[in-house]
Amino acid sequence: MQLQQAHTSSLTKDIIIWFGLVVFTLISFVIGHEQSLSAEYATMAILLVSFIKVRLIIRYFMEVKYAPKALKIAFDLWCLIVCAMLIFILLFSSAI
Amino acid sequence: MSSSESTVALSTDSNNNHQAYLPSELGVWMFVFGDLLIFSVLFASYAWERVQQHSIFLISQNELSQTFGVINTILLLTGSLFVVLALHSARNNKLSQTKKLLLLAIATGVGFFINKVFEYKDKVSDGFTLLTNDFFMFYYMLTGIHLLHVCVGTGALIYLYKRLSCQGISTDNIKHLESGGIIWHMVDLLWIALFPLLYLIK
Amino acid sequence: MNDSYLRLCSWGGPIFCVLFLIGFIGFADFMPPISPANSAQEVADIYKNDATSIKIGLIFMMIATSFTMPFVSAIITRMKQMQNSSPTLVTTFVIVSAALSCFLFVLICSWAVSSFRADRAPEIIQAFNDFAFILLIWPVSLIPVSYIALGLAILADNKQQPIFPRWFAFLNFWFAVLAYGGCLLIFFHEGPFAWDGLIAFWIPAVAFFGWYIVTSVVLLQSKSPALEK
Repeated sequence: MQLQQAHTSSLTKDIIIWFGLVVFTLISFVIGHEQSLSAEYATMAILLVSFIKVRLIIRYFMEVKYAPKALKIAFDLWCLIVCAMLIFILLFSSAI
Repeated sequence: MSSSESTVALSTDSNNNHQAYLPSELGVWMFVFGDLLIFSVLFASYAWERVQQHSIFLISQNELSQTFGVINTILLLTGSLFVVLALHSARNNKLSQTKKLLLLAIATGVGFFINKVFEYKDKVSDGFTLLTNDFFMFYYMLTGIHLLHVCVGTGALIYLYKRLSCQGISTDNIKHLESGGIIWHMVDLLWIALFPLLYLIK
Repeated sequence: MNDSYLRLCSWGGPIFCVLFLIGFIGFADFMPPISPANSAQEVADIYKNDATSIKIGLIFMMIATSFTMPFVSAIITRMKQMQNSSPTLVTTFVIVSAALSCFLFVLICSWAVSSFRADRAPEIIQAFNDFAFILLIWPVSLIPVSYIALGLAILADNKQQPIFPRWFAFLNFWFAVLAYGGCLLIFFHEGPFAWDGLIAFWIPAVAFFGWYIVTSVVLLQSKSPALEK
């Protein structure tokens, strides 16, 4: 129990994270409607924003930030690989 | 067994480092990783098909209502926040607050479900079904599989609510709450990745 | 308690996998599966040209199926030995496992019917081939229930030294999720959700056979509660 208490993040921090996630959602919504941006850049920006959101959820809501290193590395690798894979397939695979 | 080795590795890790604490248990994290793996495969095959039939996917995608999508994203995010707050209240031994927050989280799950059903109804009445084209096949399958996850996650929260009502707060129940929370956040983050792929990208 | 028969039966899983896959891949050449998009004539030609090797493959698969029964009996024995063991979960597991053996029997018979008179009307061959492949994939809507029952039973086992490790419960839940991918196969003739697709065939196939291997390892490592003392 003490262990759990030690790194219980404060209430305000979680609400700030949630607020950030909502703002990011609205940002990607706006990018989706922005006509001045080229399709490639818009797609890349939208994907990057959403994987930043994914990582925020993993680190703060799932409390992986305070978890053993192995778990942190595994999740970061997953985010990185999936995001890179999607950007690669969507933007560069047609060139193959 | 490799996994029992990793249990040992994780626990010695947390002994060396005072900060490290593994919420829930190893099996739950294995399940989460397994599920993320399946969804990565689904995302990849969707992206691949999208590149092959880009114009069809783009035209079909414009038929989706982004408003539904944004509302659902915010619903799930808020649900995640309620679950996190519930866990904090449980750790601070505030039973009634925990239960209230859990109920709110369950409500967001039910809200997501209802919203999704209306969205499906909308699409079907516009004449878009599973068989219309490959975009709608992926749309219905991916959101359907995700909706199933939402149902399971909501079910887990209802189970936790009942458990807390009967037994009150204990170390054991906090562990369970952590597990339920992790499953719920996983459902949330899968939607966060799914939403731009289906609704937003160009 | 005598564990030696249980150990023997625990090998049923791997033996089933090896024999079944020898028949399925090696002889019948059903990997990748006969495409659901094929015309009746194309399907009939496959059965006509490879009749003998398909039949040999079917015999392997049928004998392989018999090994699933002792294997699930070993699991059921362990499930009953768990502390807090629920008869409802055990019965659920028994019913689904028994049903699975029947499915395997009937689907192999259906392939056999296709290959038995390969010179008959192509439409009839195609119909039995469809029946067999749908029966091969569609049980994925039922099997996960047995995985979930086993997983819940393991989680309820609250002894200091549980019969099966707890992570195995979550692995079962994961296998359940993997298997569900084929549920909607009747809508599709091609693509990832058709019976030769990534989500409906390849992933559930890995989950299905992987489950036998992992379960067999876990079974061989498990101990009867009486022997522990």
